[in-house]
This record gives sequence, C-alpha cells and structure tokens, in this order.
Amino acid sequence: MRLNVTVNGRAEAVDDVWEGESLLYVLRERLGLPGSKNACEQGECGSCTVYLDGVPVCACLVAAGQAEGRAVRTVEGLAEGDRLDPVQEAFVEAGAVQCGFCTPGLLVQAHDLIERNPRPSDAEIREALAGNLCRCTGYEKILDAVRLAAARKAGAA
Amino acid sequence: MSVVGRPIARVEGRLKVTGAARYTADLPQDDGKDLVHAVAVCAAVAKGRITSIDARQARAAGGVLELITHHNAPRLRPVPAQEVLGPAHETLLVLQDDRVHYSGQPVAVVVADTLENATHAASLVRVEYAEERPVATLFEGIDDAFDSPRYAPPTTIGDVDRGLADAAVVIDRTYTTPAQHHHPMETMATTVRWTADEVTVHVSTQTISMVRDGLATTFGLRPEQVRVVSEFLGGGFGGKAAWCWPSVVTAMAARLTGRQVRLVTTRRQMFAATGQRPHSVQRVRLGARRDGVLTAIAQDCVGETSAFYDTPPFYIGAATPVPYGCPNIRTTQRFVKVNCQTPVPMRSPVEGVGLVSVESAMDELAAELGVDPLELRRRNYAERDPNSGLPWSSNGLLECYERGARRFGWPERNPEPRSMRDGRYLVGWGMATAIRHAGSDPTSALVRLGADGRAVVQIGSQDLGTGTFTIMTQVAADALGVPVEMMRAELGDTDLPTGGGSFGSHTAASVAAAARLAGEALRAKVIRIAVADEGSPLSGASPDDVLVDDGYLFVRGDRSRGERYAQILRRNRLQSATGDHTPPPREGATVARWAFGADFTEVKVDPELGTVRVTRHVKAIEAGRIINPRTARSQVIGGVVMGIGQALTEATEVDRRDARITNAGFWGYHVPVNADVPDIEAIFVERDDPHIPGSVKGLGEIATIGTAPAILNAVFHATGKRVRDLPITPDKLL
Repeated sequence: MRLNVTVNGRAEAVDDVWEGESLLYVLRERLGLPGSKNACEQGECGSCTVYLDGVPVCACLVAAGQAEGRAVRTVEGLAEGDRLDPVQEAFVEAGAVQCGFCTPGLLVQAHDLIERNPRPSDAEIREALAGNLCRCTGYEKILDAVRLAAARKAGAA
Repeated sequence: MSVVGRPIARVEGRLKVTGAARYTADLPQDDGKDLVHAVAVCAAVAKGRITSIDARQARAAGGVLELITHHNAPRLRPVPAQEVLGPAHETLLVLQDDRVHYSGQPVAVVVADTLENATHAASLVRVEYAEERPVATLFEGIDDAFDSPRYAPPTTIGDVDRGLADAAVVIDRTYTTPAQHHHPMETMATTVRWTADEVTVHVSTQTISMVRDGLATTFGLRPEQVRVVSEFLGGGFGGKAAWCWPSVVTAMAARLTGRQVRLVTTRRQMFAATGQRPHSVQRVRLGARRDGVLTAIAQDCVGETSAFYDTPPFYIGAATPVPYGCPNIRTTQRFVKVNCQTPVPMRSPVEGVGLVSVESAMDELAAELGVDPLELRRRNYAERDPNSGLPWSSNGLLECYERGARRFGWPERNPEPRSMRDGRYLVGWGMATAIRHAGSDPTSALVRLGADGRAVVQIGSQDLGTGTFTIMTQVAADALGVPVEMMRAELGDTDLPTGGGSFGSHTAASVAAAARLAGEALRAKVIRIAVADEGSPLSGASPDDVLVDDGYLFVRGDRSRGERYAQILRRNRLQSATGDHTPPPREGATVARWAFGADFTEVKVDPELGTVRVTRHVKAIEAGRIINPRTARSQVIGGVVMGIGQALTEATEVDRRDARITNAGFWGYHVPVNADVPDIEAIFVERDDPHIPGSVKGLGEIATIGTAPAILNAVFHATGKRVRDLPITPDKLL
C-alpha cells in the first residue's frame, strides 16, 4: 500500500508498505530516520517513542496503516534547525545521556510532559517517564534534566 | 588551564539528543540497495540432536535469498580460546553439526530482502529434534561438579582450618546468586559486507580487535582483511565483550550471499545470544575473635559453565582474599556443566558476584558479635594486599568508610533489627565494602594537528556510553596544550591505532594513558620544529624553555615571544605523533593496584506485602583521579541502580524440566525502572597514585560492586530476616 504520513512537518508518500509492518519500521527502514530506536519491539521499553498527532506512542506498536493521514514527530524533529529544544540541551548538560540508546524516546516523552505540565512535580516526572527504560544512567540525571528543561521553558515563556 | 578533572558535557551529546548518532542497526546501506536482513531460528530444546529441518516453505517465501543450516554453513575453524580472545567467549562453533547445547542456540539463519520477509520465513522453518534430558540449572548437576585444572591449586593463605579452630565465633552460611542478563538497551547488532578483498563488519561490540581476530581465525582470513567498526554503542555491561554467535552467523550470511547483511537480535534472543552472569552457590565460613578480628575466611563456590566449555571462564572467588587483612584465607571453586550459554562477565564477574556472600557474611558476623558492621570492617582493614602480600599502590578505603558514613548518617543507626520504622514500613540500614582490581590494556593513540590548529585523537577503543569519547578529548587536549574545543576524538575502528577491550574497568585508564603519551609526544615534536624554524619567534629557544597554553607556544619568562600551533603548522606540514601505553607486567609487580568503595543504603520494607524499596543510597569510591566528574557521577549512579536490580528484581528463570528460560523479555526480566530509583549520592575520594598513569583506576564495575550486599544487609536490619538467595523478591520475606 501507499502510506501518506506527515513526518516532522514534511508530507511523505511511502510506497510498497506492508500493512502489518510497524510505524517504527517505516521511520527507520523506509524514511531514513533511525533516531527512534528498536530495543524490545513490544512496547516495554519506550525507546521508540514518537508523537502521533501530538500524543506520545511506542512506534513499534503502531501498525503502519494506522499512521495513514496522520502527523508524526520524532527525535529528529524536536530541534528547530540548529537550535536544540531545551529538553535536548538539558539532557546533555545534566549528564542524562550515556549510551544514548534510550535517549530519543525519553526526549519525546519528557518534551510531551513539559508541554502538558510546565511545572511537573518529581512524582509527575517519574510517572510520565515510567514506560521508558534506561540501563546506563540510573534515571537520577534524567530527572535532573527534566527539572532543568521545565525551569528553562518556564523562564523563557 | 587543565580540562582533566573538569565536568565538561559529553562531546558526542548533541549527536545523541538529535538522533544523529549512528548505532550499528542505524547505518544506511552504503550503496543504497544492497542491504539484506538475516533472522536466526533458535533451538526450541536445550539438549539433543536435530533430526530434520524442513525449510521448503521458508525457501519458497517471498524475498528469501538464502537459508543456512548446519548442512550448508561454511566450515569454521576452532578458535584457540585463551590465546586469541581473552578469558571469555563463545566457543561453540554454531551451525557446524546437529548438536543442540542450549535453548536459543541458532539452528538456522534466513536471509531475505527485508526484515519482515526474513522474520516471516524464519517462522516457517520446521525443525525436529531428538530431545535429551538437559541439565537445567546448577542444582540439577551439582553432584557432577568438577574442579577445573585452570584454577588449581585453590588460593590458600595461611592455615584456614587452624584459623577456624582458633576462632571464638564461626559464621558458616551458604548464599546463592542467580543467572542474570546484561540487557543493554541496544540488542546485539551486526552488519557484514564480504568481498574478495575485505570483510567489513559494523558491530555493537566492546572489543573491535577481538571481533576482528575472532572472525579472521574462524573463517581462515588474515586479520588485516577484516575491518571492524563500532562507533556508537548502546551499552554492553560485559555482554558485548565476548565473541558471540550473532556476529558469526551474520558473517556466514554475507559470505554466502555476497550481499551486505544485517542481523539484529530480538530482545528475547538476548537471553541466549551474549552470555549471562553465572548462577552460583557460595558457602562462606568466617572465623573471628570476640573483638571481631578475622582469624579465617573460607569460601567454597560452585558456578555454572556451559555444556560445551571445558575451561570455565572465570573464578568468582578470585578477589575474596583482598578486602580484609586476615592471615588465613582459602577459596575454592567447582563447576557444573549446564545446558546454557557459556557465562561471560557482567559488571564484575569476580567481585560483583563472589563478594556478595562475603559481605553478607561479614554483616552476619557483626550481628553475632554485637559489633557495628562498619566498625567490624575497620577492625579488619588490610594494611597490605593479603593475597599478594604487596603494599597498595594507593588505598582510600578508610576515607570511603568515613565520608560515606558521615554523609549517610550511619552513626544514628540503631543496631537492633526491626527497630526503625517509618509509619507502616520497616526501615533498614546496611552497608558493604567494594573493591575492584585496577588494570589497563596495551593501547596506542595517535594525535594529529592541522594547520587550522584543530587536532584529533584516535584510538581503536570503544565507547560503551560511559564517556570514552569525552575523556580521550580532555586528556589529549591537556597533553597537547590546546582548548578542549579544538580536540576531537575518533574511536571504534580497527583501522585506528590498536586499543584494548572496553571491559574490566580498563578503558579509562588505557585510553587516558595512551592519549596523554601521544599528545605530549606531538607537543614535543612541534616545539622541536618551531625552535629550528627561522620564521618562528621561538627560533633558537631551548625546547625545554617552550611552554604551551591554550594552543599558544611561548618562551618561559617572555609570553610575548611566541606563536600559536596554527601558525607553526601553516609553515610546516600536518603533524602527528603516537603514544603507546604498556601496562606494567603482572609478574614481578611491586604494588597491588585496586579501587575501593563503600556502599550505604536505606530500605523500606512493607511488612505485609514483603516489598522492598531502596530509599537512599550513598556510595563513596576511591578510584584514583576522576577525569570527568559529570560522566563519572552518572556512571556510578547507573551502577548503583544495576546493583539494585541485582539485589531485588533481576533473575533469569529457567524451567527445570526443559531448561528453557521462562521470563525472556522485559515483561518478565525486571530491570529497575524510574520508580525503583531512590536518592543516590556518589562521593569521589580522590587519590594520587604514583604507580598508575594519571592515577586512573576505572569506575565501571566498582560502581555496582557492593550495592547488592549492602541492600541484603539493610533488608536484614529492617526485618530481622536474613535472605541468602538473590534476588530478594517479596515471597522470600513473607
């Protein structure tokens, strides 16, 4: 089938898509956007989290056909040109990145949290990131990064 | 100003937060259309013979290019284990015969044009087995435990029997630790292109040189025909340190098809792809005087090895003689052949496993004697390494105890179990000692400086994600005398100067030593050029009088007489220099090099549900000098969290009837999640170590060692119940 989907603001028409393949597969293998990672392929780790019509989803659990006519935003679409989003900046500054494999999913999830809740409490941050596994950092610096990004965004607003 | 020791942000951070860092499975097919995908079919039994493989349906499925079984796989040459690949690797030559040795062993590989087609075709392969009764776990095979000649005679210091007989108190306890899996977030990925001239391998590995040598040996190639690249690595923790079957079968597929082939293991396959921390039983006997001074330590371990590996890869009691100054110590280990993969290191194969029992037994001894657990350890502080008899190269253990205890508030502890409460929760405080051998590997570096004043440092090492790119940059910038922004690091390619493996907590010490030597050599070389260059303000100066600051070279005492690297390089050619780090030989050592630490932890236990939460953790570490406190702190916190998993949530469960893993996924194998993580503090007790270049001892493993036993001890303090079987799941407390 042909899949029509807007990705990071760009309208894409992808041909020869098998209806059963995942949105993650379309992004990584067909559209050349490997930022979203495949680490469990069954919705347990959050590494493939992307926005689908503004809602964070595990791209591994979304069938390609379900994305028809919809808008996807991935980690590659968080920065505006060369200007990083405050969430991206904060992850680097706070030491919230190690191997970086879980980072793309965490960034999208944290970005969404701060959009919805500009002043999240620690409990709210932990709840929002509950579906994102990280094996390197031990999460503490990720919390620091989300707090830092929220403070910066609030300051800038 | 020196950038070593400063908490600069990781240099590859921007690539990682924009999705631009390319991991093995992300790499674009290099000429657009050539990449194809391989999927392994894994054994559904743990022991037996393959009686038939019906691949007719699979071969007929759409897009299938090749189907490899033991009937048509390239013949592989055995790899001499110790000589080529270090202490631990997969010796099973896969797809060579009809034998099955563990559940999950690859028995066929399908290659197809797309991943979806390969996955589908793999599901159509029908394999029949003549199943035999497997040895499912250590316990099933314990009657056949054997001594390995590799570890004979056992480590013996003094006279343990005498020490036990003379003791006022003897603690005699047996502990078990489960098999656990590393589960880096990136699963094992390999891409291979095989041409007549060169085999190019992109692979998620902790040791590119080992993959090169392993592939060359196995397939009968010269090492220089194989290029291995691993630039960005999604974690490893020891699981990507070993030579493992996914890379072997990908190379087979590339050779047979002539295409570039990628194989990415699934999360489920990661339970039988890269080895595991071995299941163990550890009996510990401690003898002590009334005042707590140890008279004897005896540790007798039984550990699993695979059914096909006669030389067990490591000896989990190897570090047991080190932490305490006891005159009589004996450790032994026997092995059981189990139908599982060959065990591999997981964030310290020795201290991270073998000291769990010793540190718990020390806590039991403290309770028995009525001595504070920290005080008991202080009284047994080792003035020299008891194992070798050598003085320490440096040792900050007592300061780790002191600063960790103060920060945690340890003196406030009521020694009575079940005495501390927070509402309905029982509160427990526990502590443990951590030690880890500090070593390094032979490593070469090259630093190159261009006419724009920019420099690059190259080492054929790997960055697991810990921060190797960053610390290489810092050290090389300092050594050359340029701002850190002017230095760039390259690693992860066997075309670069040879580095060692990223395991054993060796990487930081190895790359820092080599990068410093190369940077200093280049600085000296450019100074020699400048003083001989009539066009330079430095002309005629003595090289010893030329100083470098921020990329500016000048004569001592006259800052105005000088010029920048870029100006010198513009008149001269591109310059480079190499540095070769050679570790001190183990034979004839005059000092014992170790890193030290102390873990202090608080748990809260729900007395009705048996659930344990770690609520606070302080870890003090003496690992020499810290090159980058920001990356180091993050690494240590992550290590503590892996220790929480080891203590409370992680175990690979095996069905004792058929030796198949029953929790093969994140749904059943529980790595700690955000909500499991408490307030964690890392304290660095820094020491200069004149016997280690840069005083770098390494952090990767000491970050985790000590955490699990501290939690075990805290759970006893909270509940009065001693759990000696990891992990502490609620059922064990009810």
